[in-house]
Amino acid sequence: MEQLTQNRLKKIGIISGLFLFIVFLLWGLSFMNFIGESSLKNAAKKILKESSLSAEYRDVKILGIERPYVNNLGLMPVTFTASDGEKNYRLFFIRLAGKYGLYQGLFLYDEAKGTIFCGLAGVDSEKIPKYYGITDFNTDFWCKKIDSILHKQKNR
Amino acid sequence: MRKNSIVFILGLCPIAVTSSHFAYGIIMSISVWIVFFSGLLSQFASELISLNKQEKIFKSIFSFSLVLIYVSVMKILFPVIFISIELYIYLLAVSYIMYVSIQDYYTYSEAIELPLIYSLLILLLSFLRELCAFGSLSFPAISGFAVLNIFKAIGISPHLRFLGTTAGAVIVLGIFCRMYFLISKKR
Repeated sequence: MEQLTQNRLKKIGIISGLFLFIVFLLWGLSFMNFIGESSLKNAAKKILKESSLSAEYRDVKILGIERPYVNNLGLMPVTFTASDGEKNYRLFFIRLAGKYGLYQGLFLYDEAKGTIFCGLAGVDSEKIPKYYGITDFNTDFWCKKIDSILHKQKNR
Repeated sequence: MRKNSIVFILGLCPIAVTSSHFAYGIIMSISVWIVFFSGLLSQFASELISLNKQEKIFKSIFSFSLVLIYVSVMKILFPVIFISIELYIYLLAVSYIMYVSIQDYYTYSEAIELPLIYSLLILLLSFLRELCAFGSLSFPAISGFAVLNIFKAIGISPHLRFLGTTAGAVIVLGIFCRMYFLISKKR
């Protein structure tokens, strides 16, 4: 009986240790998120600087990543706060599915004008989004969705 | 009784979406092996501590935790790409084709045929799709894609862009599947 209890305790100990280790590892990795976040920030900066779609927002500076992320915007969106010194903006990286596959689209929310599509991340900025299969229908859908969600949040 | 064709066709669903770029293909192929090895590791761990009753729960949680660690690391390394394909890696982790691959490993004396074919298929399809659609090859990079414009360097433009679309991918996959079943039948 004692041997049986000992074995059981041993098993519970190993399993608990294993899962504690995984939890600590995941917790430790969350501290490294700043590396990924700074890469995302640079990708957003590049789009704002190079894309012809966001020409009037060239001076917008990204302040930082926003937490908690805005819900209901597809799965796992990334949100930034930004400003040009006078006005504040919000930027969203959203997964876009087009004819030629998946892309990461950047959207900018301007309180006065609503949401505009800025461009795609990691692709040739000289080419228009249609070349990559991302149509106006795709981008308009997300512009409207962001507008309505942020409008609802504001009115709460 | 298991039907290989059904298993394979179910496994093709995430490929049609994530094979649009070679960069995605590389990450998805690596993910196939990570999911496969995390499944084997969880089996090994459960045998080591000789679990009986809660073996399935332990294996599922343990292997999914390993996949979570992998995704967290990859999100740090390739954050832009992971906005798009993170969801599909989770789908891969719970996909039937991976479950069957792990089962086959133990049933047919360490067989790795299925994950090998699956990962090679993802790589080959993503290679063809990107080449047909854009005449380029992309690799995962911190800022998104590191693109190698092959057609541009040669001085030609892509003429088979349709094969790069999702519909085109399904057609190419159909051809691949037919070839696979013909070869396996001959054997």
